[in-house]
Amino acid sequence: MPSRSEKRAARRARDGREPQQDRQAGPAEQRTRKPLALWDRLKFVALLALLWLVLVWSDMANDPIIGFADAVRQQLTAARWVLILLGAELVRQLHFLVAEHWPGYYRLWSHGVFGRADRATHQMSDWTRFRLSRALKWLLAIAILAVLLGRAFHTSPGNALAEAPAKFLHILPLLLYVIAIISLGILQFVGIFWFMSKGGVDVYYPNDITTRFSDVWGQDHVLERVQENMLFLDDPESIEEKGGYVPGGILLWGPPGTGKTLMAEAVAGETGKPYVFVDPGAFINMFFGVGILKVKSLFRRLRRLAVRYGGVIVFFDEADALGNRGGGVGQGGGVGHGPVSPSDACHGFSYLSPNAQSALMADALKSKAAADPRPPTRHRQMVPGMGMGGGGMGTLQALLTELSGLKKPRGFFNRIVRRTLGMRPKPPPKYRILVMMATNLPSALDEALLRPGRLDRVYRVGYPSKDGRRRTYEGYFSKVSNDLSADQIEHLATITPYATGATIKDLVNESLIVALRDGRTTITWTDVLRAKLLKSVGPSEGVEYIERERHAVALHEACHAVVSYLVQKRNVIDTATIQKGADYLGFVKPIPIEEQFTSWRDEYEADAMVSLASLVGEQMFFDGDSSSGVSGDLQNATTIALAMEGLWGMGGQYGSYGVTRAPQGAHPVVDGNDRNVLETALGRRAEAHLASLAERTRTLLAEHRANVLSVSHALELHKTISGQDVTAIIQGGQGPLVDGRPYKTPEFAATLESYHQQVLAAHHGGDGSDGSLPLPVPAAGPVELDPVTAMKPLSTEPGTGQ
Amino acid sequence: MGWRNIHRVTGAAIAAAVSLSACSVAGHYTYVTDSGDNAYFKVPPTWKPVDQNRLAAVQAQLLGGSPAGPAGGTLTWSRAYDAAARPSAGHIFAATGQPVAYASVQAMSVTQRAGLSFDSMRNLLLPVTPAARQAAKKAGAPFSGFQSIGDQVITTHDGVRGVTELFGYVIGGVPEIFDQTVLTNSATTKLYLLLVQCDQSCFVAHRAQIGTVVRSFTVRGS
Repeated sequence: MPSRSEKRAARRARDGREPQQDRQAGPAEQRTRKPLALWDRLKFVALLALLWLVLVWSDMANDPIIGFADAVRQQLTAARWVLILLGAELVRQLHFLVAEHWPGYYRLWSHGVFGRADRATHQMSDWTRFRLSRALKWLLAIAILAVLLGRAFHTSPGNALAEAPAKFLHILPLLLYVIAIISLGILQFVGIFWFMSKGGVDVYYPNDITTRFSDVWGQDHVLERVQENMLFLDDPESIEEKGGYVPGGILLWGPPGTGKTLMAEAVAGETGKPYVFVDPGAFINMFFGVGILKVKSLFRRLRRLAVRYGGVIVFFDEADALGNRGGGVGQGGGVGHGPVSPSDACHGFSYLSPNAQSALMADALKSKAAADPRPPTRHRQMVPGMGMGGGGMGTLQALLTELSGLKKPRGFFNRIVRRTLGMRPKPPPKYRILVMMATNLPSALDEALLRPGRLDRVYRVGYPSKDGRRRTYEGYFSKVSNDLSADQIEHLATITPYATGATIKDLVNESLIVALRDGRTTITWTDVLRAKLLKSVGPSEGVEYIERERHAVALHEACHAVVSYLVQKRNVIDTATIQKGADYLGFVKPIPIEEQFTSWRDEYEADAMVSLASLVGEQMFFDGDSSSGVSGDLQNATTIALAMEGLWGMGGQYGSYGVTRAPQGAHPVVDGNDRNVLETALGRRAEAHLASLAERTRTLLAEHRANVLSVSHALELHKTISGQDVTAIIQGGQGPLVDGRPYKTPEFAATLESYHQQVLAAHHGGDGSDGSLPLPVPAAGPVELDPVTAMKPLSTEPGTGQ
Repeated sequence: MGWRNIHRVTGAAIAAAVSLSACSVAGHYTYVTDSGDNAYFKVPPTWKPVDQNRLAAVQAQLLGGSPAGPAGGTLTWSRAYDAAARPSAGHIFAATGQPVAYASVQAMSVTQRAGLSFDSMRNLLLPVTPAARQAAKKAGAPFSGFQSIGDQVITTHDGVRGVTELFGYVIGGVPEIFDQTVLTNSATTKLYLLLVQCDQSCFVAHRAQIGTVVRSFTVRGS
């Protein structure tokens, strides 16, 4: 067991107070005091002398009969304290002067006197010394106050202190009056800020919310995790007893309409806790500090609700509105790209596989950014003082502090009064606050927001699975009258791969409107298909092509459709149309048969062949002629071929151009900003690859010339057909809209060929036709599906007089 | 100037300052100030202040127990200094062998202001003008042996005006000399009095000191 002296030595070592002899051993110890600069030596003397002269001058100014000499004599008495201080300062300087020249004197004071005093005081603990020094300071302050009051009251300092409370009570009314006047001015601002700090926060109490987990369809994997959080919210001891802690926050991110808000509501409905909804605009404020007040007020309310109801859920919708202070989370993009089209040509890239679409989308985004003369969006968003256009002005920081500060002692009484009385502040109750945030721009969130302890769990609420979509369709269709079979709903879920809860709800509603327009109240399969077509294609512009142009566009799309049917084995055609839209003449849209996460060389080759089919087909059907409408297709094919050769190792080279960069940081292949890339070895290999694919495409189209003409005819006749119709035409079966059987009769095939030859002649101008050619019609024509008709207004009820 | 020289200069300055702070602080005069009323005068340091309480008692006795001043106004300030070894309020207005100075300030009412004149100032304490002396004689006042030594009207640039009157009376068989200065401010709201007195032989002996005291009496206009 260590002795007392050992303990003391250990404490000294801990405090960094080594024994004096250890410090003396240092090589740089001074023998005399370091000389003072002249100014430092004289400044206090000069100051005190000046003060005394001012007092003399004041005396002369106040008494017109007194001369300088008498004023000096008078102040020698009256301002004696200045002279005492001056004398003390002079003695001090004298002491310094001697210490600067006499080592023995210096050592006597530094080691003998002050060193001893230091050692004596350091026998006490730091805390005791602090308290002692604080007490001495208080005593000194009281003594000065007593002297001043004594002078003011013309009495002794002791009496003055005794009289002070009575005097204070005497002036108290005046004091209160002054405080009231000042408070009135301050209260105006407080009032304004108080009013402005309200709003944007809605509280829903347990019975207000009827949403349940059973209302959330298609997000089972996220729902399971969220339910886990709920279990901890309801029974926090289950994890805390085992040494863990309740996760405090969840971030739900994903594309719009995927049910993030619904999920948060369901959590509130299931737990029976209050649900606080924070409006995205709540933190957009006019004055500095209002946002901070709002955050503080919000969390005060949350703490109160949490204590009262045993927990509370706060949901920040569109959390990206909170802004960030610089670099985002870096979750990657892929969401919310907006209406970017890779091409303004005939039909964009809708016939490609999803991964090829992603690659082309990235390419299109970068090209668009390169062509945009404005600075990048990231820079444009740096609005001064608004922090990414969001809350800004300290709001985010206040939120971060509040999220971290839920475990600190709070309250004036708890922190100040208890501390003053020597008691430890009570720890706060365990506030059960589940913070949920939703955003579709996770990259715009501040990184600090997502650190563990604030938002512990980040869940992606993606597009629902096929099973989820089916359940969502079933859920929404169960609310309306319909005669859809289970197989049809299953098929609907298959052909709408990226449908979200919101789009599914919209489709069901649109189907109901189509049915009502036809005077029915029960939704049929045809209504659903019409509604889907309307949603995917949009209303037609109502533009009618002249016959030969209509035939050319139809042939163009038919080539895409037939080659897609033949080579894209993992996709099926959803829709093919020649209805002119805003930025296309028509398109063929495939959808994946199943979700897949990798793409293969044969799929990319198939995509490139589908792209090239339009040019190859036009050359084949128009005697080597071709239109400018293939430009977008060629861009797509070239991009795919370059990426296959340069990035994906699907050509003859192992090295990737993904690691090479141009001097400015641009990427010649990925960014497509090297106009000479086609002249490089890479470009020549891509060209050769495209040429071989074009040849294969040409062979395919030659083999299926009759099918192309048939699909083209169906498109000309119906403008829009489904993928099942394309299949029906090629296989000679019955599609939902088109009967494919007549197309397999040799007579009609010959008619179509003849029709094409007439159009070709008109195209060349050989027959002097004005372009008006009668379209042959098969013997049994199917029902036409025309979105224009589908969009006609609802018929009014008879007898309403409308 | 080298470092060594600087030290020498500093050392000399310190030594000089120490000796200055240690030197005698005795003054030549005692300055008496009523800063509230802007009245100032000085007396030799050998003249000692008369106890204020005793002074108040004498004033009350002379003025009939009222707070009024000699002119009937309200006394706001008064001081007395006595050259005697044991200062006493009883030396004021009495024959004494050592000079005594008495100063007072009184606030005047509107009526008093209207009746104020240089003559009324002259007659503030004792009858000085012939009319006042005749009236006092008729009233049987015990004053005799009046002797006018000097009379001067005072006006300053800031509106202060009044009279200074040097005169003698025989009181109790002893010839007494009074040097009386009465002033009023520019607004005629206050009346200032300085009276220095002692017997004739004393007055002759302390003429210079008394002159200094009377000349120092200053009132700032307001």
